[in-house]
Amino acid sequence: MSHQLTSVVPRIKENITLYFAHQKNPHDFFRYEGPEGKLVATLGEDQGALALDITWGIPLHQLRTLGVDWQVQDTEDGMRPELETRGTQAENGWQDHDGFIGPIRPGRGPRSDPRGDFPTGPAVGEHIPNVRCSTTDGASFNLQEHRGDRPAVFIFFRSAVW
Amino acid sequence: MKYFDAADIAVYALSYDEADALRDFRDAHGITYTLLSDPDSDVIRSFGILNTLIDTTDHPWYGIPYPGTYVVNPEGTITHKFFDNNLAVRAGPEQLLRAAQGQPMLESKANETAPDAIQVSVALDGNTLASTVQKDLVVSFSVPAGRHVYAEPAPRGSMAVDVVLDENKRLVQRRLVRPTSAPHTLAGTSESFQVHDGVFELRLPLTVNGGFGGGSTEISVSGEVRWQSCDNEVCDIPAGQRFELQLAVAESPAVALRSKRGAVLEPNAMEHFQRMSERRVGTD
Repeated sequence: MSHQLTSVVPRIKENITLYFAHQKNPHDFFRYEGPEGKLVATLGEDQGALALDITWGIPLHQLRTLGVDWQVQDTEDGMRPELETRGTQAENGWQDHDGFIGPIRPGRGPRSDPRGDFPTGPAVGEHIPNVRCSTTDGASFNLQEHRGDRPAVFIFFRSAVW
Repeated sequence: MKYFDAADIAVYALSYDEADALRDFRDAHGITYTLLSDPDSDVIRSFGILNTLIDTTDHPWYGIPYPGTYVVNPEGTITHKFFDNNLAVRAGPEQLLRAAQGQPMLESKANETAPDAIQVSVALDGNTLASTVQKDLVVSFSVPAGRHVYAEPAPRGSMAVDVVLDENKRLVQRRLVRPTSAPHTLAGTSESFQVHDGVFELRLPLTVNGGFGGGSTEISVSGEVRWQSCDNEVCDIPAGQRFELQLAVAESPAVALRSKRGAVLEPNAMEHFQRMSERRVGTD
């Protein structure tokens, strides 16, 4: 039995150790391999959990698991920001500490703003990870191919619907 | 967008909305840049910016990113990134265009003053302010040759160049962006401190926080620019120059789920919202 997990590797991290342990079957493990920029893992069989030393990786607490019950543990503590809850009830909604008014109370749902430091992804000076997803027409999109050698602005926004 | 297109700068915007929802949004608002769909938040996760403050069962909100923008050069290296603790605040198009083009200073005309005097001018980078969208208030300095102004950190008892706005509850400002300073050593001493000289600018990111009473579409932005200048021997007492700008405030785009105008533009918005909620609940 084998599964293929592919994911874009967003940033280079030095000397992190990955532990993969199948919650139900501890004898299964991930074998890690792949060219720079892409994480490819193959499920195999072995005794217990396998520790792999690699020279690059992803923030493991955000690695999406497959349909199997994989538990991924990271030896480094992921950044855990605090929730910003400052706000007051206004006549027409809830006002946050910057004075923006919205229907939802600060600190809830889409207004779950971080207080202090929070993860902002790849750093200035790093290469932007490749992006593979869909366009509005349902076509496949590949950032490296589409951008070519043009400078670019890449925006992550919350939603166009709400 | 015309400025981005003219400079051949690609613009992409990604969210966790389904492709058809983004298509309706694109068509309703005449968007010409590339919108990308990441409905399972795979790309968001891979960048490490999934908003983990939201509970995994809190639908449809779980899956959104900490919103932000990366600017990359032709080689694909990230040269700037814009993120804010307030998820409603966005980098403005002028900020992004300037970053993508690697522009230095905004060209501005200094006030006419006597020779050998420091010249200061204040202007908005852009034509209007808009709610949640940042624009830079640009303070341009021209310092006569042989003189300098203190940068941060200024020596004890001295004043570093600064911009202080008068209180205005409608304004949302962020940290002043200062240019790189240079070390300066006093002649005959070993005392060294940081200074600015020549022509330089400070940028104060600003936005406004929403509706204005009585249908007002203008806002007054006032304050004082402060500095302390010296030559190699003598320092002046701290100086200041007040400014007041009357700036237009652009109307915010209609949000489909919060306004009648928006609902007319995007008649399928509620259907998209219900579907995105149901789909995510179904995967719990």
